[in-house]
Amino acid sequence: MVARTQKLIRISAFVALLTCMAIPRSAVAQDVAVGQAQAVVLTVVSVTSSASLNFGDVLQGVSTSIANNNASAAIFEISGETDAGIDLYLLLPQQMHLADNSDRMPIIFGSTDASIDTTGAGNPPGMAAGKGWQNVNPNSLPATVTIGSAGTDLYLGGTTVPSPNQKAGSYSADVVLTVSYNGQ
Amino acid sequence: MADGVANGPSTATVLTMITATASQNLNFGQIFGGTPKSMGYNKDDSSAIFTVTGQPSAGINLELILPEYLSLANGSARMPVIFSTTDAAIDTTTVTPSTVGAGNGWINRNPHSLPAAVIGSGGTTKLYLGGKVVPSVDQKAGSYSGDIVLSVSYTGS
Repeated sequence: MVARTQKLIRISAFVALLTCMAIPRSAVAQDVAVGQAQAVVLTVVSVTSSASLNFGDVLQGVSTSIANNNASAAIFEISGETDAGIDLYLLLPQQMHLADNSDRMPIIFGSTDASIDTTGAGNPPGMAAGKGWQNVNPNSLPATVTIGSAGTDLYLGGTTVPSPNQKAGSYSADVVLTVSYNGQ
Repeated sequence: MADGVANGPSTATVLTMITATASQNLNFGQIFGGTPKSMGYNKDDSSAIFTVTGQPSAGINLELILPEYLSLANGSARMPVIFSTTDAAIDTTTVTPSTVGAGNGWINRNPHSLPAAVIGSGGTTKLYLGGKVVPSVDQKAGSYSGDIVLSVSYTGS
């Protein structure tokens, strides 16, 4: 009886050993690493119309031009991330209207009626070639413009052509500048 | 009727400890509000790189815990980050992100469901990861970040 019991114990031990050997070799070690995803969002680009293109008093039948370096030129002020590349697009009117829309007067923008000042001076008469782009086409502005450390300004001139029988009154129209980062 | 008993040796070889290290962050650089930016896993200076070391040729499981957003340090704004089904590569030959190919391991893999991989014959395997951030038009300016966690373990195979 004792021998039978010892044999059963040995068989049980052998089965236990086999059971241990049958356990699969699952994950025996692990490690964890923590990295990061990073991004820098640039300052939002903004544009403000700080001065309108002002032709002042005009005479019937007499064209009046305002150069982009005239104190009466339009000024658009652009701010955003310094040195970031921007695209500029002007939507220019073809006429100005009386407030009651009873008459309209042509307005023309020539191929040298715009300047872009990357010094952000906001001073059309002080514009010079070394400060950015001078006398460029407002209908096709340069593609490599950047935002200066003090902002970038766009100066705009133009010509209005009243007819000989142009109705007297105050004429106006919107000049729209769209600015966006271009990723450069 | 004598019982036969034999004693055999019990042997085991403990494998080299597995380690994982974040070698390089996934760096999207400068981005503009309203303009999504993608970064492939094949950018040497911008893709995330995780380095796994261990027993050469041993099977490993890889699991990434990926963020859904990157956040400003003060938590005042967050920005979605997306990981697509082809944004990861596993390189068992340790070339570079820009030169890794199908013959170097696994390319264009889903980082949410990585394949069972192996430690390279040289004892090292690298994981390369890209992604995409989607800033809103009025995304607050500043430096955003989010943790990417890689867990690795031996499979026993």
